[in-house]
Amino acid sequence: MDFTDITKNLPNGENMGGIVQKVYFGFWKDVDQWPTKPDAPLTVEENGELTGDLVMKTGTRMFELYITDDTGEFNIESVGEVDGKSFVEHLTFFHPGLQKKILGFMNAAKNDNLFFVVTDAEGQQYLMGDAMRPAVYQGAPDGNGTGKETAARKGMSAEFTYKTPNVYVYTGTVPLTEAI
Amino acid sequence: MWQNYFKIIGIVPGRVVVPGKGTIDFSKENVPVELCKQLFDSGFPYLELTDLGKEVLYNQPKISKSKSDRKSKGSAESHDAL
Repeated sequence: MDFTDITKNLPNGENMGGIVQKVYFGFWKDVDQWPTKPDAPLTVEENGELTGDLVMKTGTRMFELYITDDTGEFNIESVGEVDGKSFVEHLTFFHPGLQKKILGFMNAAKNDNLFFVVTDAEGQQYLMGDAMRPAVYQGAPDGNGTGKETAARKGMSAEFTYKTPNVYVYTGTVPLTEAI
Repeated sequence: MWQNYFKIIGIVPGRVVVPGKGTIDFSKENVPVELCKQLFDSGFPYLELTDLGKEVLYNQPKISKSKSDRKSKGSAESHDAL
């Protein structure tokens, strides 16, 4: 792979922060086929992109989860010692309300292996999970519950992490119906 | 109607999030054919061409099923008619 000049590149002047108000998720064990990581890429751009689509096993599907605007964040943390660097991707969000669906989701997710597809404000997607490692629940960074005052916001916050040697953009699709 | 030219494979027809295109609901009849063609051309994994789609959208002539089938029809079908 050859390096190339990396100039300021903000198409249409766009560079808004945050993530959109939906994240997509599924059980890690339900994935039949993962998009592939770059293999001998020719350019630095190819070295930052997954190829292909995430395909679910028959009878399983991906799901969407609503998050309150300006509460979702996708963060890429660099970790490790010299010659041992890698990344931990963090997804944090807040879901309003304490309805049975979100409680049931947290009950199931807290000790299970998941994957997430996160979309930033420009529509670029990131896949948290690969054939080797899932995304896992870490806790509630902004708490869970009713809040104290009547002006407080009731709901569930959550943080999921995914450890990965490299970070990539996911350009594939997210089907929200069962695979057959 | 897009279903004349394409059919969904691999998933139950329904919503699919496509980068740059948003969420497309393939359980509806109102998906633009041109959008389906764009997706198909870009390698979208859940669309397959129907025989009519091959013929109309990609100018691929229809292949007769068998000699007896051709005889029963009397003459070869005209592709220009479509």
